[in-house]
Amino acid sequence: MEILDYMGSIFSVSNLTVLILATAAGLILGALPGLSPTMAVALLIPFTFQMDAATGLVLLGAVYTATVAGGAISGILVNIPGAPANIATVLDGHPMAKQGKATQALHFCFISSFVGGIIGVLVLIFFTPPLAQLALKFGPSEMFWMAIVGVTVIGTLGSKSVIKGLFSGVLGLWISTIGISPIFGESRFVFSDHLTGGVHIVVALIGLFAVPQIYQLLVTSRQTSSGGLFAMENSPLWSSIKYNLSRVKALMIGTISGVVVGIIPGAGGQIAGLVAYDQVRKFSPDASKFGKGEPDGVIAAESANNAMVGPSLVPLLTLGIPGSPTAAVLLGGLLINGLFPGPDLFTVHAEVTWTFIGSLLLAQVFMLIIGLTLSRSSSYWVMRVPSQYMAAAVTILAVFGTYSIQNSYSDVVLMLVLGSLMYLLNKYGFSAAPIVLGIILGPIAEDNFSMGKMIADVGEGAIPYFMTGSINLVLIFVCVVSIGYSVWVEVKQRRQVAHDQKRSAPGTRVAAIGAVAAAVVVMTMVMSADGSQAYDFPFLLAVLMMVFAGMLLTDVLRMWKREKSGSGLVEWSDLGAGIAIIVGYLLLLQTAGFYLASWLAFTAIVVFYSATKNRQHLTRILWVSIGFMAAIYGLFNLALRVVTPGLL
Amino acid sequence: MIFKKIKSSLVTAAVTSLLLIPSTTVLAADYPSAPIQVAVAYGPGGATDFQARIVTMMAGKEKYLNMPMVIFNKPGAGGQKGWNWYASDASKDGHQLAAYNVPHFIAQSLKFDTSYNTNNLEPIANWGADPAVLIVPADSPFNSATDLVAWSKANPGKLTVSGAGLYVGHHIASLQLDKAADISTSYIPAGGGVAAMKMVLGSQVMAGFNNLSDAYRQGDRIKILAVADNQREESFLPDVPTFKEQGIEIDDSSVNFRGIMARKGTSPEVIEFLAERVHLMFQDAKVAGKMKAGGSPMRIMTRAEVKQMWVERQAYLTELLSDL
Repeated sequence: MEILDYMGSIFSVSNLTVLILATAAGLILGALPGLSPTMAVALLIPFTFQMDAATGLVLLGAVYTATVAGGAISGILVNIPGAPANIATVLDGHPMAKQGKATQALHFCFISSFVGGIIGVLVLIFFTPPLAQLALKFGPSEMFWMAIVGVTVIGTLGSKSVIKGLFSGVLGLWISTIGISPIFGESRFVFSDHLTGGVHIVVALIGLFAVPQIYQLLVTSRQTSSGGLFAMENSPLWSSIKYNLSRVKALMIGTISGVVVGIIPGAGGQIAGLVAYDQVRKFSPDASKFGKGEPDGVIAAESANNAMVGPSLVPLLTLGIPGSPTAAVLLGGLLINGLFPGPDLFTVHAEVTWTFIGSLLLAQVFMLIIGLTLSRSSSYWVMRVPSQYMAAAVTILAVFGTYSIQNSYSDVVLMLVLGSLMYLLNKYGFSAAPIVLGIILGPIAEDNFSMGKMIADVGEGAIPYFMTGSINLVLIFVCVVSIGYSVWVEVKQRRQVAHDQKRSAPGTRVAAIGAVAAAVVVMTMVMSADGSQAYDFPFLLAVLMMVFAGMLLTDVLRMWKREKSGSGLVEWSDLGAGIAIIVGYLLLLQTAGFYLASWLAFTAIVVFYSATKNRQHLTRILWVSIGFMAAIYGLFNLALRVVTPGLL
Repeated sequence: MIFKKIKSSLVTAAVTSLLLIPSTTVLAADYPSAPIQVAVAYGPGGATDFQARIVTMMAGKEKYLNMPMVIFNKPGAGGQKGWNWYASDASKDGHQLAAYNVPHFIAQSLKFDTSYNTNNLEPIANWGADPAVLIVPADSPFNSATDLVAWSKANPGKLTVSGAGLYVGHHIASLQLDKAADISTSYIPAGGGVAAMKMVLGSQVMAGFNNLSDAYRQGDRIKILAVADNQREESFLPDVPTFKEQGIEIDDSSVNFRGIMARKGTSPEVIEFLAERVHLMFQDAKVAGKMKAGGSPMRIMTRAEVKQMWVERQAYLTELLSDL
C-alpha cells in the first residue's frame, strides 16, 4: 500500500480546498446540458498552468468525477441527461421523480456513484499492470464486436416495442454516417449545409432529450393550472442508504460493467451506464418494471458510469492511451507537468501520482456528501418552478449549451430540428435513448470494421480475422445471447398483446408508415450514391431499416381496421405559440445577437404560457428573465468565454 | 414607477445595440477588442489541441496581445470540418484565428473538395514541428528501417503501417517510404494519433508512423527505427538515425508543422500586428518550459518563413499525390 505513504499530501489544506470547490463546481457544470465532462476538463486545463503539478491534477480528477455524477441531476429532475454517460440514469430516474421520488432517486444516484467510484479507483490502485495488458489486446476486430454488443442492447432500451427500439437504433447509426467519412474522406448524406460537419453527439443528445421536454412542459403549462413539475414525497436519507446498499446485485452488475468498459480504450464511459442498465434488466425477475421508475435502473447506471472513471485511467497512466474522451483531455494535464505515462509515474513521480489517485478516492467522498446535501433542496427547488418558466429556461440553456460545444450556429439549428422531430417520434412510440446510442456506436463500429478489413485483406482474410481470438469469441457469444434474449422477450410480449387487446394502440399505423417511408428514403439515397466503399456500411443500415420497418408494417396490417381511436396524439393547439416563438428565436439569434434574442424568447414563452397576465405578474416575469439572462451571461461569457455573434 | 423606467431604459438599450451592430468593423488601432478565438480542427486531448493551449496561454499579457486567446475545438472528418468552417464562415476581423497543420491541410485541399487552400489563408507564425517517426512494437523482428524494407520487398503489400488518418504527415511519410524504397505497404488510417499508436503497442499492425513527441514518450514499449526529417532530433531522440542515414531518400516533407493562421481578407494591419506579437509570444520562457516538459519539440518561424514553407510543401505534395 504505497499510497499510505502519501496521506500527508492528500489531506493537505490546499488539496482539500481544491477538492471541495472542484467537486461542487463539477456537480453544477455536469448538470448543464452541453457541458460534458470532456468539455469541463478541457476548459480547466489552462487554470492548472498556474498550479503545482499535484494540485492541478487533483482539480482535473475531481471535476471529472463530479461532472459524471452531476449529469444525473438534470437527467432525473428534468429528463435531460447532462452528458451521454447519464442517458441510462434518465430511463428510470425521471419516472421516479414524476412519482414524487426525486429526492430518493438523487440519493440512489449519489450513493451508487460513490460505491462504483470507490471500487473503480481501487481497481486502478491494485490491478493496473495486468489490466493495461488486457487493454492493449483490443484491436479493430475486438472494438468492432464491442460496438455490436452495444447495438444489441439497443432493442431493449426504453422502447415499448423491441422492433421500434431496433429501428430507432439503426436510425441513430445512420445519423452517425452523415458528414465526411474519416476513413474514406467522402462526403455522405449532406443534403443541407448545416450537415456538412455531421451530427455531433452532444448536439444530438441535447436536441433529442431537451427539445421534446420543452414541448412537453409547454403542453403541461396549458393543461394544468398549478404549473409545478411534480409532487414530492418526503424521503429520509437513512432509508435511502439502507435500501440502496441492500441492492447488491444491481450495484455489482453496475460496477463490473463500468470497470470492464472503462478499461477498453475508446469505448468510453458513454456506454458503461447503458450496458449496466441492460444487464440489470435482463437479470431481473420482472423486467417490465424498468422504465417506470425502478430504482435498480438508477443504481446500476450510476454505479457503472462512476466505476468507469478509475479504470479509464489505467491505460492512460501506464501506456498514455486514454480509456475515454475525458481521459484523453486529462492526458494533456499530465504532460504539461512533465509527467509521462509509464512506470516513471509510480517511481520518479510517485508523490504526484499517488496524491492524484488518493484524491480521486477523496473526491468520491466529497461528491457523496455534497450531492446528498443538494438532493433535497435541488429537487424541492426544481419542483416549485412553474413549467412555463422551466420550458423557457431549458430552451435558452439548450441553445447556449449547444453553441458552446464548437461555436456553431448550424449545431443550434440541428439541435432544434432533430429535437422537434424527436417530439413527434416520441408520440409514436420511438424513444431517444436508442437513437443516441446508435450515434455513439456508429463510428466505433464502422471505423473499426473498415480498419479491420484493411488489415485482414493483406493478411489472413476477413473471416478468420474477425471470428477467431478469445476476446472476439467471448464478445460474439455475448451478442448472440443478447439477441436471443430480445427475441424471446418480443415473442412473449406479442403473445400477451394478442391475448389482451387484439387492437393496436393509437398511432401505430402512422408509426409503421413513417418508418417505411424513412427506410425507403435512406435506401434511395444510398442507391443513388456512386456505390463506393464508403457506402457499404450505410447500405447495410438501409437494409436493416427496411427489415424493421417491414416488420412494423406487417404487424399493423393484421390489425389495420382495429386501431383504437384516440384524439390527435400531438397537441398542436397548445404548441402553436411555442413553435412560433422558437422559430422566431432561431431567426433572431444571428441578427439580434444571442443575449437579446434569448431574453426576448424567454419572456415571450413565459408570457404566452402563463395563465394570469396582470401587471404584477408581468413585472415578475421581467425580473426573472433579466436575472436569468444575467446568470447565463456570467456563466457563458464571463466564466467560459464563449464568444457569441452579434453585440448582445 | 421604477419598473417603468427600467422597462423603457431596457428598450432603449436594445434599440441602440441594434443600431450599433453595423458599425463594429474593427480598426487596427483598437485591435484586439475582445478575446481572440483560436479554432482547433481536432478534438480535445490530441497533440495539436494540447500544444495550442500551451502556446496561447500568455496571450493576455500586454506585451503580446493584451487579450486572452481562447481555444475551441471543431473536430470531425480528420480536420476537414473545422478548416472548412474556418475558410468559409469565420470572421475576418482578426478575432477568429485557427491552428494549422502542414502538410495535413495542404494535402487535403489537393485531394478533396475543401473550401480551404493555401491561397485563402494567411499564416501568422509557426510554433512547432513534429517529425514523423517509423515505429514498431517492442518485440518486432525489425531493428532498422532497412530490415523493414527488406521484409516488405519479399512480401509485397503485406506490411501494415498505421497512422493518424488520411493525408496527415504520417500518411505522407508512408507514401514517401513506398516511393523511396520502391516497396508497397498497406497504410491503415486510424482515427487519430493515439489510436494509431495503440495499434502498434498492441501489435495489431506491424509498424506505424507517429509523432516524434508521442513516440518518445512511449520509451521502451516500442522501437523507433527512423526519423523522417533531414537531420536527427537532437534534444529528444539523438540516437535515432534519419531515413537518409539508412540509405532511404526521405526528406522533411512529412514533418508536421503547427502554427496559427488567419483568413484571407483580414486587414494587413491586423495581420502584421499578429505576425509580430504572436511570434514573440511563442518565444516566452514560460511557454518554452511547458512545451519542453510535455516533450513537444518547438520550431518557431516568422510569417515570412511559414509563407515560404507553405509554397514549398504545396509544390512537393502536388507532385507526390499526382501519382495516386
